[in-house]
Amino acid sequence: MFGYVTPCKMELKIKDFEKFKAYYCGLCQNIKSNYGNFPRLLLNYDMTFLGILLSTLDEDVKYKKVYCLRHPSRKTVVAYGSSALNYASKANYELALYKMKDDIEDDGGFIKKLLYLFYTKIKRNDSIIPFPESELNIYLQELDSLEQGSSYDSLDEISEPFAKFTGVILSHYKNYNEPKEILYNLGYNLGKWIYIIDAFDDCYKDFKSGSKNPLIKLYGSDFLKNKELYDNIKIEIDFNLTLCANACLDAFKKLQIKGDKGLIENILQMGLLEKMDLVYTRSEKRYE
Amino acid sequence: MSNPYEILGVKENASEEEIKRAYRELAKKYHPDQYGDNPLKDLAEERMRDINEAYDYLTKNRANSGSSYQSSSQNNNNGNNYSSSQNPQYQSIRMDIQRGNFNAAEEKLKRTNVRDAEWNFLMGIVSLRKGWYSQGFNYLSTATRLDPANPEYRQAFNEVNSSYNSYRQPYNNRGASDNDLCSICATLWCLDSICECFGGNIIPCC
Repeated sequence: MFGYVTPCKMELKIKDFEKFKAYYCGLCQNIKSNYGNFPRLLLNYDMTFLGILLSTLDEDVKYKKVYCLRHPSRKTVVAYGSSALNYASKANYELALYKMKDDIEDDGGFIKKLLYLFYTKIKRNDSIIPFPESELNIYLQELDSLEQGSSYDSLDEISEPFAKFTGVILSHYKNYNEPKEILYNLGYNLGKWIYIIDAFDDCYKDFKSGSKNPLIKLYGSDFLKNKELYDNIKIEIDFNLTLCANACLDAFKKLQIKGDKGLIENILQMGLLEKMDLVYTRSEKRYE
Repeated sequence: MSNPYEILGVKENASEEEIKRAYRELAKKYHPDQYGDNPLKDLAEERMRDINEAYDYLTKNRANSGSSYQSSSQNNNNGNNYSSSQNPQYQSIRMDIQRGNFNAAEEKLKRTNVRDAEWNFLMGIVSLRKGWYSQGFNYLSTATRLDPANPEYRQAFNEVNSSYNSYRQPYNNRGASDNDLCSICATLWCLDSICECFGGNIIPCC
């Protein structure tokens, strides 16, 4: 579920690449100050994207150099002081917990349960960060019951709860004054994109482990062995992913950005497509 | 929605002032807030909705002689006017869409029994707006199949396809060879040739 929203590195300007790294590291530092050291392992690129996106709306971020555990030889530039980073670190933590819980339900494991328990018991310093937990829980439960009950019959239907979930996460960023609708649309389409690409990427793995997968439920499992069937499904998936990504980019263009747009535009225009092509290539290798 | 002039109780050639006055009188009479616990409150709400719709429609049609689709929709739709329809039921649905009230439009569409081309078209538009692209595409494609001559349906269908195709362009063109040097040389050569035709010479050596 995580790590799909990344920049197209080869098309990035160096300043944007450095900015991305600074935010990634900045988010890591932020998680440390709010949740302690262990949750830093839960850091992912998608939440970095969230931090950057929300930060370009306010542009209150600062940069400093600190020593980093993973690269002890030299100081690293990190972003700090932005309320967007606080918000992104809370979102990161909550989502990582959700993913852990989801993984445990899919395929148990004592270690996973232990880890999950450990992370939920961590001392948190994030009470001042406003986060729409109750609304988000509703969507997570909706998603859960749809997935478990298998009572859906379209890709649109099953991807809806997660799409609304991310829509709410983006639009609830308190500091921002723009019409919430644009942010919600961005979040909605991005969430839908993430859900579909994740389902597509995982379908073979889920089939082998017997886990539930929306594509297998909707289209049967024959496409995993038959290239022709796969091609048809890929057309449908690509159509949805492309239109979602397009809608994200359109929504972003409507926002009043104070900061530099380059990095986010790269992610939404190129990064998403690059990831899509990577996932397709990965899936198609199975048929060779 | 039936005839908006009838709802407001004005003549078809009524002036803007007359329409405004009629609206204010009716609003005073039917505004649901003054009904409190009265069981007629629901009826008043419904009536008020019709009155508002009629007023919006009449004032918009005066202000906008052209076609402008104002809505903070997800997909960029340039200059489409959704407010013209023969069928009064579809008329009110189109107005909902125009106002960005997609949930209401969808509700009304679901309650309609007839599933003709226009119904499919409107369902397609509403689905696309709420982010259900597969569903929207299917409805639009059915609409164009049922009524191939209709330009409105075809345009909407083509727009979806062109969004799909054009989004990939910048990504597909990345790392493409830079033609700037070629175009500079070609421009200079043309300039020099034309100048020579008129007796001058920009680049003496050729």
